[in-house]
Amino acid sequence: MTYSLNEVSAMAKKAARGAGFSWGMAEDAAMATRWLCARGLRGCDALAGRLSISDLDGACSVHIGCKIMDLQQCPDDGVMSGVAWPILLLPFVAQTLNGGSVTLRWGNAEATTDGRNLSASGSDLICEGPFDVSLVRGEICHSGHTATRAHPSPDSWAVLESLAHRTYAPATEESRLSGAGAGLSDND
Amino acid sequence: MKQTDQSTSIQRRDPAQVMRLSRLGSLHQCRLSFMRQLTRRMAREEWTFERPVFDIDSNGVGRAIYTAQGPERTYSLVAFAHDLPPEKRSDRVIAEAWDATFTLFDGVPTTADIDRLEQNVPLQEAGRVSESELSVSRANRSVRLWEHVVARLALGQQPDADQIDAVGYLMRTTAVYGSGKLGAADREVIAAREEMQAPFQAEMLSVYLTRAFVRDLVEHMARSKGGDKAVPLDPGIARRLGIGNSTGLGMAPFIVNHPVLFNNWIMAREEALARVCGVERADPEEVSLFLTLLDRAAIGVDRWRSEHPVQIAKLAELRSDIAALRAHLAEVDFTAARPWDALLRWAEGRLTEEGQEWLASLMLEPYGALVDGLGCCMSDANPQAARIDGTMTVGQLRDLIEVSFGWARAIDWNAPEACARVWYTSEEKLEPRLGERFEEPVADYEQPLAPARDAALACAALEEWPDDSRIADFLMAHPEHRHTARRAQISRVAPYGEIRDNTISADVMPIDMLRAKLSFFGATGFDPRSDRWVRICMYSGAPYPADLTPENGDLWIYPEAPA
Repeated sequence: MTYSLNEVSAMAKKAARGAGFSWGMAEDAAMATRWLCARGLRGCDALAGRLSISDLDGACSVHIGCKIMDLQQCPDDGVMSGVAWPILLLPFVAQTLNGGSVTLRWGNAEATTDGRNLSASGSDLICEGPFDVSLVRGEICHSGHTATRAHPSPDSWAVLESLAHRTYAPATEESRLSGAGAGLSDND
Repeated sequence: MKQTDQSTSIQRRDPAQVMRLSRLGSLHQCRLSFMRQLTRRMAREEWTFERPVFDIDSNGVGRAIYTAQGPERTYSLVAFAHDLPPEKRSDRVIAEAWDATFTLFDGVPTTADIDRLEQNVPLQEAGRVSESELSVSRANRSVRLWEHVVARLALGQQPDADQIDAVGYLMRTTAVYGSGKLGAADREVIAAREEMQAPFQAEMLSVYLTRAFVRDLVEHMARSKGGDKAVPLDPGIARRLGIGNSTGLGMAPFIVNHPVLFNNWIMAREEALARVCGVERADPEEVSLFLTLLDRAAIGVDRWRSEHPVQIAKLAELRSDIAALRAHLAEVDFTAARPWDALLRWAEGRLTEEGQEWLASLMLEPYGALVDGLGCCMSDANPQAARIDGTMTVGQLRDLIEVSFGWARAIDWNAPEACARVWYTSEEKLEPRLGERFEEPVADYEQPLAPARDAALACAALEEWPDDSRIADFLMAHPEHRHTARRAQISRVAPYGEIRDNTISADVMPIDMLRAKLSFFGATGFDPRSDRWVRICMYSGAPYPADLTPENGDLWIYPEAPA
């Protein structure tokens, strides 16, 4: 099944919130997931993987990504150690680029972005790790794939749905009757 | 935004004045409303309309297709008509069956497309559509008016005018989903198309074509019942019928969750108003058009009915405002400098907010040349606005929060009445609801829809931080304030993006938020059914597709004086 990118954003935000992220971090996790999907990468699978790790040993790519994006700068030495699901760093790094490009490498994966385009390869691309990630500036980004639909694996989508469900209040009769305030009668 | 030579610079109204809930809840449609942008365009570009399929049986069950062809593209409303048992007819999100279901197809559907859609569209949220579809919607009949109209037409008679006016529509939509919902195409897929650039044009087109379908369906049912005796609906009566809409809480989160988009709607109207107030001299024809449309709009107010005590009171005030306005207009010297600015200033001192906003919208009417170009500025094409600048200092962040939420410092957020409510989503079909914080177990599921309260919390946390520290460090230590920092930074480009009222207070009226959004659609006849539920009418008075011309494609919103 394919999903619209708007559905991806909405689901990613709720799932990240359900997994314990603050609302603001959840918004950025959603931005990152959509950014990857819009470039043909399996962003939902990556986010589902990241959110499935409840006690993270390594560093969280979403948290590191937010910090990189907020400060508009990547780590000085160009190395980030022990990052889980490093693919999620890319959308944040991309937000810092204003001309030029950046390449991230981990395991056998390599991904280059100029902020807008993305070219990526390697079987470790959508992998948990943790990996040590190196960052190099200035490599040429060959114009990458773009997509208007996301193709998450059913398992990943189910993980996101189940986390998102934690943000929904249980159905109660009181809530059903009063919460929506549907007025006297539905018919006229 | 470019000023024309005809006008001089007048400041837009202050967000502190405009963004109060009571004023947002008093907004009226105007030239920039999305329905009117659509019908003006379709008339100007001479769109053509056809009904290639109308395959409905004598029980009213079947399918129909309505196509709208513009200069470059064709859009098709695919309609499915159902036979719904009365006990299943509910307007709420939790409903599972409807009298009719629809999708707006991007292009002309093949038979295979229609078969696919027939498996999904009638299920609404439980079905899936594809990138070929731009909207998904459903509608229920007004049972009493539907039965009356079918019965009368079947007998060869026209329906009773009073009954028509009392309801105003034969069917009301209970949801119109777009922008990627249920698998439909994302907004980005169509946003660059000229005809889809303004917000909600696909959804507005879907409702416009739905109105044509509903007229055809009621006449079809009358023919099925009355055979040769049946007559078509009188065109004048048909024209008065709009499509109803029944709206619950879902629209309230929307305007909070899309501060840039909402800002762009409000700012376009405020800019339009500032431009008209800046007009140095009013031509006699402009004044004459204003006065004519004022009379026609007043007919609309006379026909506006509501059973809700709040709206009944507001309508009484509006009628008294109109009387005061008319008395004042008899004395106004329209040859004086800046007559519209003077008129609006007079209204601010004399009329209720309902009356002020009614007048403000009317003042824009003679000035299409100054106003209509703003219509294309009303979408949100600035995703970068959401990126947090962590190099901003804590002092700067504090200042931004102060601009939008300084007023909220007076609120004691620990007082139960200040935070009595909780916005949440129910697991039942994800229906948006509003609960009682101190009476129901819903606080753990609270959605971030109280920006003023959250701003107060962020300010409290910021007290520990020196003015010159970077907010990136603050946000790493306090990720719970990240959404508040984002909103504060967005306010730099979206000064009208924040509601300047408490959205979780014990006395909040969510219908104010619904009305603000619906007024920009172009809705009329706001009729609250409770504090969080409102019925409206869309396209009442509009020409049907076959009758649409540049002469009638815009001002149809104002009723013609009775002959």
